[in-house]
Amino acid sequence: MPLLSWLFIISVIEINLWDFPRPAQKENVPIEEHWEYKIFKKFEKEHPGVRINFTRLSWKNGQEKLDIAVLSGHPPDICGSGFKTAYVEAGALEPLDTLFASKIKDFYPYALKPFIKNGHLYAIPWYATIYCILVNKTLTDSLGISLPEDGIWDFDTFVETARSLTDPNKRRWGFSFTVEPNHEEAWPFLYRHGFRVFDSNNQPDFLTGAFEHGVRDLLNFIYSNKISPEETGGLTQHDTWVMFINNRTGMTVQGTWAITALIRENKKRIERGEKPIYFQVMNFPTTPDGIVLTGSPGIGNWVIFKQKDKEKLKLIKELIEEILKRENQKYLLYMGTIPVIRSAGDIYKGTELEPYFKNLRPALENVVTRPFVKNWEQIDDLIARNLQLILLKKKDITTVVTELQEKVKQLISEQKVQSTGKFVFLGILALPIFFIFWGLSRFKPSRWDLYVYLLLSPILLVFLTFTFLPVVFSFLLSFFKYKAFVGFKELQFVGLEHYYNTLKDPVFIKAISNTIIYTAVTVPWSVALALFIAILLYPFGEKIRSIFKASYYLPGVVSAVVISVIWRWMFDPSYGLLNQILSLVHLPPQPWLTRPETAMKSIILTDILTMPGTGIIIYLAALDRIPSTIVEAARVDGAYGIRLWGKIIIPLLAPTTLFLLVIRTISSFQVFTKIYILTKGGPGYATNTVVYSIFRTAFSQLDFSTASAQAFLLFVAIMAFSWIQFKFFKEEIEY
Amino acid sequence: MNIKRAHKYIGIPILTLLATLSLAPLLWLIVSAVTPQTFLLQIPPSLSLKTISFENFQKLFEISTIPRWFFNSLYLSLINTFNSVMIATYGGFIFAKVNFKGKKLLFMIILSSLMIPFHVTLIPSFLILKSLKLTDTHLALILPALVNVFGLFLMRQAISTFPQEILDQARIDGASEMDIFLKIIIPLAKSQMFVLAILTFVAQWNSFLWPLIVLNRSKLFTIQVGLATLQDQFLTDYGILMAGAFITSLPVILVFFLFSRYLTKGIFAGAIKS
Repeated sequence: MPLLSWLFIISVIEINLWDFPRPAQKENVPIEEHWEYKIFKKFEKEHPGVRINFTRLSWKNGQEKLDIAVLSGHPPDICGSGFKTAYVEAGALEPLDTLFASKIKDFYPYALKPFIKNGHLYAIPWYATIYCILVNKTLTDSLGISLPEDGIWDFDTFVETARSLTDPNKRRWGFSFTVEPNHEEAWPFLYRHGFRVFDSNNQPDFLTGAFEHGVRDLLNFIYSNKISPEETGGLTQHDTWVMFINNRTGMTVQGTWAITALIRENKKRIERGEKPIYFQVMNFPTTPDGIVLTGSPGIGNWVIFKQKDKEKLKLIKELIEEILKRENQKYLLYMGTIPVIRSAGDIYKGTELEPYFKNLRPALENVVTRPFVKNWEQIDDLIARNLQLILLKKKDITTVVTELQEKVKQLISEQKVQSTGKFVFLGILALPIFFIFWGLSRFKPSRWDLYVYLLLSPILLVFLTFTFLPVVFSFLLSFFKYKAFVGFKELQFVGLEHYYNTLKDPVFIKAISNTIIYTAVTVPWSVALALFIAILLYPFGEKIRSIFKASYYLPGVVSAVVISVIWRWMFDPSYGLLNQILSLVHLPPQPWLTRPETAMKSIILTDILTMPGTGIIIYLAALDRIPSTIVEAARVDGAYGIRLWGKIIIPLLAPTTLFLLVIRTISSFQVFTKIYILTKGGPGYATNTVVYSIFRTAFSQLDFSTASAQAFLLFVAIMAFSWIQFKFFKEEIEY
Repeated sequence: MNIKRAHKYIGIPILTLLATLSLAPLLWLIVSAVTPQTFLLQIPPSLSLKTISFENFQKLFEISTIPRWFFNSLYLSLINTFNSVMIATYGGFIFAKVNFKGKKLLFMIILSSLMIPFHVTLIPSFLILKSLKLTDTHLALILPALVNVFGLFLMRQAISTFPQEILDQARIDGASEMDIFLKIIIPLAKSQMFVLAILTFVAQWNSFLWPLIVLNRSKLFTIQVGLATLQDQFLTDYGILMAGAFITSLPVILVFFLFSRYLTKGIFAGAIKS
């Protein structure tokens, strides 16, 4: 019996399957009843000996989790919506064209296109999400505006409708959209004039005038038709969605998922006895040639990561076929997405969703999907951030056009690796090695020393494995080209190239200056405020002190993520607390995070309003340790009040001040969470900081070597600053 | 004396104002956790005692295994806090009070690791754990947390202020370094250890990115990771988001209130001497 069960264990094939969250058939369904989970269970039942290890990724950081797994060469076997051009370049994905050869004809070509390179298919399309325009029907009806029933309209009708929906007195806009990175909601307006990012020769296509024409349309929406808010360049997709469901905009661009989400929202509203939002789904205005087209935020897909075992590969293929089966296509309904298989037909027919989706049928013939090019993530980011700056009137369109053409060209070209830095690198490497040998040759430990090292060995072992080694690893990597997924097997030496490129990159320079501004304001402020509060608290008894200390320190124990989410809400343009307070005192609402001039200031504001709890406690402890004899002596000499503090006590606190300055500088150089949650470095590059930049380079762009180079530049900067602060205060410490 | 009284009259209002400012985000968190979404999103939000409800919490419990995640977080945070405080005290003692060759350099190397952003060491750390076959286990969260460099630094600074004479006397009496650590250092360093314990517990409880990356199975999730996967379903439901945030913040707030008096007792004593 034990032998049998042993055999059984061996014969189990485990498939590690990851997927992003998928809306369930209804709200609040436990995971075991989720339709996706049921598909996997059924597959396990039909294939004895197969176990599916299902990991549910989260939208928040789920992509980073996948990136790390791929970067380190240990991805799952199969992943839902796991396609990324960088993974293909890294050689991490299994080509699927021969494996699925018999099925390929059944897919719509537009759905396959984003996954095909050099004749190979790297992902199996699952569903399509396309962009559409949602119109608030309650509003149009009440204003007597009639909408074309079939959802097709031309540009002028669209603008006219938006204009009638705009009502500045009610703070309502006609049309809201976003141009944030990784969101292509506004791009169909560029596609309308024939812009496709790349022309038929795969060259960037910014110069033909189509791009410029489209961008000028968007600019006109804001500044001449006045149908879109001036802060559009700083809005996120989430902002526009919230504006729409709160009647602050008559129309908005969203992905089709929003249709299902709205219907759910309406059901909830009806349950609660509130008015639902009646809405109509419209297409983008037709092209000058009268064609209906749209864009897509990406095609839902399944990817298979490189497999060694052919048997297992076959099983995974069967699993994907199961997921794509006709009977399982109906689940796409819950996601508000559209089938990409011809034989699936129209899943919305006869459902409550049909009235909304039927208008989109003509657009499905002309879906413009993302091109499959090298570094697409970076290109998208570059275009989006430039669009933000144009729409905020921070950059001129004509200069952007030439800039984009140039930069995108660079991004898609094959970079030649230079190895000019070899000697410099050898020099750098030789120096520490020389010192280590020199140190070791002089290091003649006594038996006592060896005994102490033995005592320390557990600590040193853990420190070496989990801190020191990783640091050395990434330091060395900054001199090599590290290919994601291939990992350490194929390292290419590039010397100082990453350092050189980083320091040449204006975006990184901007990140450095942002970080310095942030530090220069927040660090002195927080240390000064800590001192001020500590001085105020000093004369009081233990009871009063501890109450105040607790209230200053308490917010510090709540995670930075939570605090940042609260701030995000306070800054919300439509119903953030801050703008509401301003309107109570009849001040105009402020564009907190949505304009480059104010975004960094707003982030600094969150720091200014946060009490430096640790600093207060440390200062108080230091104050308590000042011998009362010194204070008494000063009193005898006639020093009172402000003079006593300014001349005697504050100088005595200099070491504490130094300590606080140093630790605060180090932490503010590393500011990240706030930026990540509040602005993602935008609008444009207004709030991009060094660590945010490192994070994006490493994960979003999978360029781990450059990220390491950036990190070590930061390391040197922190060391230098700490050293300067120590020097600067040195004389004053002697008392 | 006049100056002192004036100070009190001016001091209390200013301090109270700043305290209100400081606590405002937390108050807002609590208010929004117990108010249904509808009331929150009105302009201005209509808040009153009547609108208080636990609807947000109810929904949260219906659809998730929050108790399980809560338990995982709790036991991991406790284990990690205990380990890292003991080890930091032990290492702090050696670096503060034991003389040996290469001490200064070794300490500098350990300390400078604080200045490397965490994101850069993520991938190599992940690779090391993977090669030890420890990913997707709780050990992946326990082992790297054993040595806390910041804690080591803090304890070294604190212990270096302890009078040398006591230790020398003990050594003359034939006590080993281990004896000194257990019988003299730990009793003396108690309050600093508590401070470090609170800081570590809070940091451990709040840690997010690392557990997210190394854990795959939902039953192993910590509460921060679990909630992140849940929040996807409620992107626009601020109420549920805040209810989740409130539950995750509760333990650290409790810990803070229970032990805050240790924070006020001669903390960071040595930190100043650096």
